[in-house]
Amino acid sequence: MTNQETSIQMIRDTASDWLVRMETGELNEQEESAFVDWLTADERHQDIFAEMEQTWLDAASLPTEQPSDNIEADVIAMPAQASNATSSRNADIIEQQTTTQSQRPWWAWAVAASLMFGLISAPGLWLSINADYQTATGEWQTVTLADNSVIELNTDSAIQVSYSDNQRHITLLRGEAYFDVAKDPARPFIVTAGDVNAQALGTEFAVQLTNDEQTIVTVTEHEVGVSSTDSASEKPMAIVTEGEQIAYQDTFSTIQKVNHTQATAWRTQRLVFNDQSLQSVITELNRYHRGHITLYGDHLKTQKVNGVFNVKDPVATLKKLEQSLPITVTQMTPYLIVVSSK
Amino acid sequence: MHEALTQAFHQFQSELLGFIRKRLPDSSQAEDLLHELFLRLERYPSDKVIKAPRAYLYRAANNLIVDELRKKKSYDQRFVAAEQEEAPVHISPEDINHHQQRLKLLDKAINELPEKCQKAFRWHRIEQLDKKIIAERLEVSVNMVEKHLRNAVKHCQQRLSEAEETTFSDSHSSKSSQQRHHQ
Repeated sequence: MTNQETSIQMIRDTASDWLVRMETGELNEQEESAFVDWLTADERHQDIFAEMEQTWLDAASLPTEQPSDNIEADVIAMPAQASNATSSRNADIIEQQTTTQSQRPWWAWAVAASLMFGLISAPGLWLSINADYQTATGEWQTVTLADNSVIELNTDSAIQVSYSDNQRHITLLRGEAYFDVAKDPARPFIVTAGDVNAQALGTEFAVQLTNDEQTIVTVTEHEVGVSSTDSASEKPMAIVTEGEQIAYQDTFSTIQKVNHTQATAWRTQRLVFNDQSLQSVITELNRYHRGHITLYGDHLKTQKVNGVFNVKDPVATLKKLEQSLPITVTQMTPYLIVVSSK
Repeated sequence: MHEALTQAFHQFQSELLGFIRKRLPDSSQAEDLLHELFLRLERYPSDKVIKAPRAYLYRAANNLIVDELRKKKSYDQRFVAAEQEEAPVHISPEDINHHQQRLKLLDKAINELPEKCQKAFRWHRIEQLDKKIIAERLEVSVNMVEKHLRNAVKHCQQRLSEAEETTFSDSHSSKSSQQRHHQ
């Protein structure tokens, strides 16, 4: 099983947990907020949850009796063209579907049409086809490329590598990576992440694509030229030098000074928080946690957090925070942790 | 008109619009979809109790978004195919067949599950039995029934998603070979 598949499996676990909870019981206010957080956190959550809900609804339109063996055993192999190949059994199924439709919840109407256009695929699976190297949540990987450039992949990340005679091109598909680039003036080293091209000017730097589609470039040595992929000009739009960081979301932010050792502390499996808000700490911990951590209570979001923690154990980090902050950490299911007011 | 849902809609509509815009950045399209969501609310039976309306609205919005993205993707492919064949875009027998195949695959996927898991899922989904009754019938705990339901829907979704990928590449290649045949 590849890393990507492992993380899809985890999303499936969480999605089924939410679906069954909502379909067989009622969510309390805290759980409701946790669900919305989880759903909005990642497009893959949205796609898989919608597919799962569709599967759940479709199951209600199956015939009541146990199926007999004369249903086509291997329908995948059946050619998808001849409507006259429809057996009477299929007709039964359709009829059953129309009679049970009134019991369906209202949003069934929203999804019923999609059956006709069911080109569903989890984006994560497409990602795994395109990616040359990838890590699952809570995994790290170091890759040495043919030119001796070294790439370190952070948790839940994926890259595509394409080297040619006149260019070394890396696409960051997801997550975060640190690049230690081997010098080769004849072949520029360019990293594309979201709408940003970052060109190494003999250098070490990190690029991150966040869940809310922001691209962040942090330079730890020498310089990086950044430009928007929309830009026609060959010239970089900004030069980011050692100890600086730039973010892009629709437009470039101003260049900020950062403590680059702190910003890339994940490379040594550490997380360093310096007066950071609890909300941003939770967002950060979620990147390393297999499952979902959610913060409940608006007044907690701005609570300041300081300290150095181990990225390998986000749960232990939460337990430590519980001792020093006015918060309670509750493990609600194997996949869900809620942080709330004490 | 469901009062609690409508009220929740007004309370959360700006965050819902934000949620929609993340995946459908075109703002007029996003607003259309939000409007569509409101229209669906009007059809919802007013006597049903909803305890977590915000979660409900997000689920509904998510279904509309994913559905819209899927239609778009499908439309793009059809449009290209139709243009080449100079035929109007319509729902073909293939689409209907696709639905039937989906149900058959689902049935097959359920049959692959362990016996108690199958029973729990069929009883809950098809016969609409309450989880407590299923627990009694299977002589297991309610927690176990929930676990069976989770495992069942997970397995079925995985099977259907795998099949969609295969069908997608199949129908794609059959379409292009058909076109070659036309010329």
